[in-house]
Amino acid sequence: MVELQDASLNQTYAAIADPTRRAILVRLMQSEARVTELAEPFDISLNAVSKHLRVLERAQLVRRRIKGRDHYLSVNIEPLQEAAEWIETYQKFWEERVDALETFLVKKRTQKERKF
Amino acid sequence: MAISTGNAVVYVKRLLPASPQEVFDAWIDPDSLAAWMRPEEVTSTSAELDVRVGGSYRIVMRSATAEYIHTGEYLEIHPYERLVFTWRASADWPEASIVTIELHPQQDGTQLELTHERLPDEESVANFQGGWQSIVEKFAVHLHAPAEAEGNQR
Repeated sequence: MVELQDASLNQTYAAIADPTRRAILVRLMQSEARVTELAEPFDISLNAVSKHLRVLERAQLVRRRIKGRDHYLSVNIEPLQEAAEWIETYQKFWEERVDALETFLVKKRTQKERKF
Repeated sequence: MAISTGNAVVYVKRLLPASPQEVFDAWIDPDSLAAWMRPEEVTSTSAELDVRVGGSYRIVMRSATAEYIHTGEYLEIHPYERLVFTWRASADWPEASIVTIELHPQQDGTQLELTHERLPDEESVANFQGGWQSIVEKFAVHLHAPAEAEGNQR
């Protein structure tokens, strides 16, 4: 069968499939934050938040900056930007193609009717 | 191969003034497809279609300055009802995505539903709960205010 390969995109999708990780991303869009700050609004352990952060880091959606004992997390837009670009391009492409298909079908029908 | 259409990335729905057979033929007949598979900047399109399950197609769109090559394989062919094929755009997105065309007969024509999915594996499809488009939208907003975001960090 057809093999679909795109490891990085796969990681992006897997990373944002989880609601807690999506909430972390939304929080990080406001500003960078420490792990403890990120854990606060969630009813889960610091350890669990760290695990989610590792998944987000592997998908390159989150970056870590270490300053002394504090780890600051910030968001990285690029992987999602690429996905957004894909959606935008193909939404436009297919809408225009379906427009053209409609024009083609109407024209064909008119030609057929003329023959009779 | 089971492909979920519930996780659409791109979706277009349109009532077309033709029978399901006419619409289906416009997708599988090379001359017909070449006539309408032609974005504005494209001056000519050529299509070679081997329309059978596992067969491949090649659509070349030429503009004054470039050639856009699209290739893929047919995964499902149910005449006048459903057509599923993979889609690769040589230049921008060489990895395969999946296009599903569904045709529903109506009194005054045919309802066409087109879904273009970019989901790399079944696990992702299973995990995927539709939340990511809202994330993308939020990122888009975020993108438009990068200076402000940086200011907040200082």
